[in-house]
Amino acid sequence: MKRVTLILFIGIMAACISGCASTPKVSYGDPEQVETVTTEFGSTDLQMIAEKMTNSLLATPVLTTAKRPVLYVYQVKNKTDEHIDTKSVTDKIRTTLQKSGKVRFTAVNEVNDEILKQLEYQSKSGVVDPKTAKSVGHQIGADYFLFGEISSIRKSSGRVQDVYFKFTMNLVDIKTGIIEWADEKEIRKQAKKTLIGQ
Amino acid sequence: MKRLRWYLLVAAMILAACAAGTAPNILHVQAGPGGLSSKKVEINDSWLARTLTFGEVSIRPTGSGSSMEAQVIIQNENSGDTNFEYRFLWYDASGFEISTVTGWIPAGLSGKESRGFISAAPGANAVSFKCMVRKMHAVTGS
Repeated sequence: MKRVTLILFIGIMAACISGCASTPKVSYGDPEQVETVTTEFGSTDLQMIAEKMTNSLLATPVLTTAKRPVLYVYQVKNKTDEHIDTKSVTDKIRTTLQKSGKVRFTAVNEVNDEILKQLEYQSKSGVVDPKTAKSVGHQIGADYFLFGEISSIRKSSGRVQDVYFKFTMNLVDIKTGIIEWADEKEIRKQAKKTLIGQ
Repeated sequence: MKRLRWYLLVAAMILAACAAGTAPNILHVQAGPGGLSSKKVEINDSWLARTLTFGEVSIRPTGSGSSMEAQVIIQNENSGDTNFEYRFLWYDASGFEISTVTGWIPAGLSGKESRGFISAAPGANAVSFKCMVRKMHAVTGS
């Protein structure tokens, strides 16, 4: 009887240990799927903002009448109470607009130091063939300045949590200083904690 | 016994409804020189087709007329709120997808409400688009 109990005990322990050692289940998901894991800013919010802003910008006469204007993008300001990678929001909007072929973007706010180093290397190092070396003074000045900010209002009462995000974007004519286009996207997210568990 | 069978049938129907897939209903729209050329609705989810219906489609040129934007009216036939997901996919004359934003967007309509959903063509070479709607299919924390 004692032996049976011992074997049973060893079996249960082995099962428990193997359970602890098992690897977590990992799977690939669709990056385009709607995500509502938490009320914090997520991938779907980013996609919704990019969709609204690019749709609105692509339809504005300012960009469609001028011949592929050059835009300077300033990183989106985060005025919410949570950490948001605003560069990825800016990048998403920029790449979406760039793919449309209707606008061009200057990279001076992103990699200007690297561009200047490369220009110096090409013109002064003596390593680069002078026929192909690029010289300073040929960068194209931006026509428009694109900037935005994201803010939020967070409220919770009892088991309900409500978050309201507001994303605003503006397009300014650098020459005149006039805001030629502005739009906003509002997002409301709610979470209700279950009675049992979390 | 008869009542039990009835209950089992109802339970099976509820389970079948819960287990239903997320195949979208698709509105195929071809744009012509003057705007809308043709449209066709593809029903893959008959329950959703009874809840959300595609209404009027409008296409208008943007800016200098080199590109266009489209609006599709979606009507909630239910008397209660309906949450769903939608997306627009744009194509060129060769049938190549040229969309720049392709993620599913969550949306909601109040009872009997209808609203226009707008999408701008990503380029001047766009000639057709699909407007897709499907049931909510979110990645949740549970």
